[in-house]
Amino acid sequence: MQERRTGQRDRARQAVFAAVLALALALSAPILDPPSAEAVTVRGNFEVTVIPNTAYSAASYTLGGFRTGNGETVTGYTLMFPGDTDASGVTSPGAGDVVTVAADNRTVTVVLGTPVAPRTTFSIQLDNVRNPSTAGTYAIASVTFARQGTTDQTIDISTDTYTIVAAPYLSMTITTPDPGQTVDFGSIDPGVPTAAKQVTVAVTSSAGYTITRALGGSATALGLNVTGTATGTKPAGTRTWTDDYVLTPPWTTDPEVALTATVVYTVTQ
Amino acid sequence: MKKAVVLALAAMMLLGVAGAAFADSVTHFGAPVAGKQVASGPVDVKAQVNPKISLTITTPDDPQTVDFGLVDPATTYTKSVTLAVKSNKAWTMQAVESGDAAITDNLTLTAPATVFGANYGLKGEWSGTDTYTLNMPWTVEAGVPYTASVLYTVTQ
Repeated sequence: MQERRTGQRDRARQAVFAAVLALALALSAPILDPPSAEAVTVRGNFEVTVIPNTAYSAASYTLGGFRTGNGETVTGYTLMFPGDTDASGVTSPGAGDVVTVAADNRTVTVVLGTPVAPRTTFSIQLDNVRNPSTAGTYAIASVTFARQGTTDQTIDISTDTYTIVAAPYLSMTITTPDPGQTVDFGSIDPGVPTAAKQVTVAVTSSAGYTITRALGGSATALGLNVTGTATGTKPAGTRTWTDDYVLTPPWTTDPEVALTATVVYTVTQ
Repeated sequence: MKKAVVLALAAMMLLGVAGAAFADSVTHFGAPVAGKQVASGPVDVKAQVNPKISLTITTPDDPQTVDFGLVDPATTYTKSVTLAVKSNKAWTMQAVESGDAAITDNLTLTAPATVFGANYGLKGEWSGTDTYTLNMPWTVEAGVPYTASVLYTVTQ
């Protein structure tokens, strides 16, 4: 009888000990199994999307998806676009995002207005990036994430390529000295040439092109004379041309009348 | 003094920044036209001309002088003055003589309307010749240098 009671007590002690051991193991699990050293991981369906993906185009680049780890917060990132990509005018759509571009016009750093919380799937989007001028296969080598309270982390994405295709591209940016695409000379005297004002015409073209100017409106009454380099046959690529505008109104022009002349620039591939 | 200098510098910097912000850029993208990529964009040029008039007088002698020199009585002498008017509005001209009566009483000028003919009073650039005709009568005392002036006034 006494041996049975002893055995029962032993089994009870063993059960209590096992329960205590299990509880201890549960409490120590976070110690025995610490969180991963990498805050950010690349999801299985990760890809780089470029829209539009035509040469020369100003495009939106989306890199997704990434995922933050346990207890880690991503506050920003840095990446470098491949050669012949112009990110000088890059923007980030997130509210409060601060974007800086290095002197190479390819390395972009973004400080996120809203950091990425732990255990969150997210994508990177950068807009107004000018695609390479040559069709082909390209890749962003890596992305370095800035993490709150710990070191930066660099992820290699060099094998996630994207394609740029050839397509006719043409854009012309006109910059005037006054608002509203205007050259405003104010009040001027007849018979006296004004000081010149400059208008620049920046053209990006995938092929050779021709620039022409057409004067209209009150160009004759104002004695408008336009000279400079924004005219004639030009080669493919990105270049800026400058024109000088001078007014010498004749004595036959009615005074005290607001006059407007027009100059229409046309670029044709 | 120091405070005034600091304020002046701050004002200059503000104006500089404001000036730089006025430039305007617009991008026009190409579109296919008859099989070619074409981009086009306008620039407006604005101004307003001030009312202005000018008169340029060219005399045969310096400075701004018509010198008949020694003249004989009862003898006609002529010299010319060129008048050039630039005006961007309608205008009129007056020529008023003053000075020694020996000249003003015996000097004849061409009427402005005759100087410029059909162009008199029209906006634009015009020139004409005013002919000075002098004939001294026997009653004018000899051996005396006489001087007179002709004041031209053009008015819009």
